[in-house]
Amino acid sequence: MSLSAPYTIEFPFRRTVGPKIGTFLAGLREARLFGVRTARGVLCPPLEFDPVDGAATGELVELEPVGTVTTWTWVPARPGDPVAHDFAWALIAIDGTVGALFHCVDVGGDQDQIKTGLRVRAKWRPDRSGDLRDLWCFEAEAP
Amino acid sequence: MTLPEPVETTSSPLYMNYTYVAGTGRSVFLRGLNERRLLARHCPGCSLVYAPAPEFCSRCLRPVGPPFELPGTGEVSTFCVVNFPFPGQVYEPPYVVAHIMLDGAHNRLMHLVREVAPEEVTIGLRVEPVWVDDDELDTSTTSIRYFRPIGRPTRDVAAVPYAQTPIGPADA
Amino acid sequence: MVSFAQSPCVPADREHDMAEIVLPVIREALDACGLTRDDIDFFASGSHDFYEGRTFSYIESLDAVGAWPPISESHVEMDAAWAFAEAWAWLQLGEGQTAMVYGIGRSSLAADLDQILPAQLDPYLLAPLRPHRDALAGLQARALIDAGLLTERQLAEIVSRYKDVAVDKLMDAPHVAAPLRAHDIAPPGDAAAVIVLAAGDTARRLTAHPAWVRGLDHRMETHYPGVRDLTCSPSTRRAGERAAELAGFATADVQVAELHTEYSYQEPLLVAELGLKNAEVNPSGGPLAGWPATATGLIRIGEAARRIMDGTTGRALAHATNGPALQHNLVCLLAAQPRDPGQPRDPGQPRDAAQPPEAAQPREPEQPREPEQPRDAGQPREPGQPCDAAQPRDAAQPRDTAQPPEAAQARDAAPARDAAPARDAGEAR
Repeated sequence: MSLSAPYTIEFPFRRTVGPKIGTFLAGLREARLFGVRTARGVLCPPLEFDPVDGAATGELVELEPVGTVTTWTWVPARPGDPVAHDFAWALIAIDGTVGALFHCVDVGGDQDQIKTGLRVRAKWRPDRSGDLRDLWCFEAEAP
Repeated sequence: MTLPEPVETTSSPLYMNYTYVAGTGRSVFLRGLNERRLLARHCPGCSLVYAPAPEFCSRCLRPVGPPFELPGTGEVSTFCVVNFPFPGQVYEPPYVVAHIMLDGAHNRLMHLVREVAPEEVTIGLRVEPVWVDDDELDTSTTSIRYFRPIGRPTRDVAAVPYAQTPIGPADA
Repeated sequence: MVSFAQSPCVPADREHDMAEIVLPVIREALDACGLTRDDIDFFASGSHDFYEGRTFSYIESLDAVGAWPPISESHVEMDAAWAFAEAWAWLQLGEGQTAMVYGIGRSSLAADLDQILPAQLDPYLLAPLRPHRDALAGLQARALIDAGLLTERQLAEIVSRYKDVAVDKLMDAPHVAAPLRAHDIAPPGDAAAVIVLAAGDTARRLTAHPAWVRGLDHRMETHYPGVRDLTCSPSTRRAGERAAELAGFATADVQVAELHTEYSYQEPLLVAELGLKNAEVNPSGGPLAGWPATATGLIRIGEAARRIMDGTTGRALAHATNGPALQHNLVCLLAAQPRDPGQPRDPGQPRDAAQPPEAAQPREPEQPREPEQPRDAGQPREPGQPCDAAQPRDAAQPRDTAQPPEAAQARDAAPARDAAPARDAGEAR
């Protein structure tokens, strides 16, 4: 019979970020959403390099934090999730951009309220630190 | 419209819970420690004696034989002095971490060497285990608090280079 | 390939360490082709520290191959199918005659895969959110359903084929990461797999029925899911096309395909991208029968080859994947016959001077790469239409006519400063 035992490992890392993502995260701290210019349009979230051709991305562009759900999956809430009730992880195409942003969509725990094409607006945390989680979640835009 | 000053770092902590599975061979050795016994196993293929022992010889891949107890004494085959602090450190630096070849074994066990000033430790130093109290015994190398010297080196260290110890050269 | 062995995939092996799991499988694979450990020129393996929970965990497995005297060895921190790719290339280069590839996968050691799987994600834009372990797969499945390429009922039909449970009953099960249900997701387990490879004449000497690796390629897509089109898998398609060029036969011509489907929805997507026609898919039961993490892809290669080695099929395909939502894909084409029988080697000729027959054959120059734009996520595609065939979106066309007008206008490829909702931070206003 083999012995076995539980154990925990922890990596309390902080990571350096590039200039574009650094500005994006600093924007979140100010409750502002930024994208970055590329040859085929604005990307939000910004990437340092264009995933298509590897070129350095261009200038940062401030965006209205509003977009459209392009795909979603409904999951049960776990400890540490952005919201306490069931919600959707989704890709959200921010207005004025190409591609989409991965984040949480909170529709009050009612799965019937989430659908592809839903118009959503960012909700900001009151305490923000320059982290992706400053953007608390997206909520359905009032019709 | 001004851009915010970029943040330089972002938090990316990882926290993970696992199950460690010691394996059949390693568990024999760990259970021995819980009884203050240092158990070795003999390989019938290449005659190496392992302590700690795997379930299979890592050279000839044969299953090793039944466990038997070693006296527990041994000697330092190499060591280092830990001088720097780090999170989770148990002992105050400087302290000695050594590879200890137990008498009767052909591989080495890593453990602490204490009750001796770091500058007094040498390769070849004879050592013995200092066991924890009964209520602290466990299936863990922490059942040995540390090793301590039992005398002066019995070998001429220069005559037994590291590479010629039994697990040394490839053509041994 | 001259030999394949694997251990049963068990939900949680609490008896054996890494070496103890793999050693019996190594013995079985060597015995099957009459070799000993000393006959192996090169060892390659795949496993991942995040599943094992220790740094440099794989070194423990070296005790199962006996790394003494020192061996020629390599390890990939990913599925062992990529170790197979390395060992195959090593033999193609004429570096040796035999190679052993082993994979160890233990999905069970992590107490909560939700803690582990985000570690494979971008640490700036994805991992801080700690998404559910199946979240990105759920997004891909939903995108396929929205694109009209798949239905939830089809997912249940796929699972029903493997599990002998009625489709309606499967449809009644609750969602885990909607549209995915628990049975749509490969169950974690622990297993090891071993493959022995041999070059040309050595393979012929070792077995009457080797499975010849006719072509192998792997391709990677960008990581962030928001800039990928999740309704297609161009990396699978490209890898399949390149493997087919090397193999001299098309992926459509195989009789058996073992696909690394960690989710049911991936099967029809991969079948479409590979252009499979009459192939029996995952006759082994596939990963939906057991997911031993980084051994899963290597087992696909072994299972595909096994059906050639036992004479039941002439051509087979194996697929392996790494990363979220099929980011990185490998395709291996196998056949009962080598592409070029080659010249019998002069027995007096030194072994090192011999060229592997495939290497001696001139290869067609690769087609120059055409500049292309990936399709944007959300752009509809006709069912059956290959995603690579899609043209870049017309800059004058709105991306999605179903969207509200202001959003559609903003989707023009024109710079965002011309789009109403974008506020330009780079210029004085």
